[in-house]
Amino acid sequence: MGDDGRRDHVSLRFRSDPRLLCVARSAVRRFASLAGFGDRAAEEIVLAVDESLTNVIRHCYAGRTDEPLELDLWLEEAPATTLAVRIRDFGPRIDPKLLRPPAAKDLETPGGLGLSLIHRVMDSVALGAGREEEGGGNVLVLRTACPEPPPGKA
Amino acid sequence: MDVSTRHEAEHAIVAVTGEVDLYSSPKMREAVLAALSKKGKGVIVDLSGVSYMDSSGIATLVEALQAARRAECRLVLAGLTDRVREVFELARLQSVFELAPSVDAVLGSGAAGQ
Repeated sequence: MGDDGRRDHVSLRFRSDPRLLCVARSAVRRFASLAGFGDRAAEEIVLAVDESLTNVIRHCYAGRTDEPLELDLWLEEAPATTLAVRIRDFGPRIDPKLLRPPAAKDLETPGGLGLSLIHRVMDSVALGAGREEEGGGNVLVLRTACPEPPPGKA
Repeated sequence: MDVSTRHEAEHAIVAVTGEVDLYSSPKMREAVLAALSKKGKGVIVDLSGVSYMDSSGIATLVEALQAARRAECRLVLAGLTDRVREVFELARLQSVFELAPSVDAVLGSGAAGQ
């Protein structure tokens, strides 16, 4: 475990090209599986991360395909084992209020459907500002509790 | 993702395979809307080969449903895999669409859909 309490930290840096989303999904799928999530739960986490990246590309980067993106995955004890996902962009600041779960059936909101999926899957969704000296932008952190290990296998 | 359209028993069948996401959903959109623009008994979107679908895929199908209603055309989603069905359930949209277990189930049932 690192000094910052993060375990199994994995980092990906890539351009905001939708063609690369499948690579990010594969990494998340394998990471969630390694963390003990079953296929169905792992696939829900994959969806939440994919939707988050999609919203950054569509709304923060206005569909531009050559902007930087960072995806970090790690486990932490907080106090139960938790899978954390950090998505960093370097676009204009997004008002955290826009990340509240949208009203039911509100398909007209840009990114609204994806956002509601993220909130249904993850235990917590937090948006903050990237440090100015590190390029500004937005930092989205998603967390979800890991499944309990089977008895005797902890 | 691959998409192909064929015609059978006066229906257009749009078969989609692979992963539907922000990158690939425009291709599915184009094929489904093109099928809806042709006069026929209806359009069946065969999703049995889809291994992954995100909200851009769902949004594309919602748009297709709206286009189908305007054109008074039947739109059926056939052969949803467990994975795709779960995304529809998370989106709480599974009851909005006419679903069928397979393309054959739609064609075999004739006009007894809805």
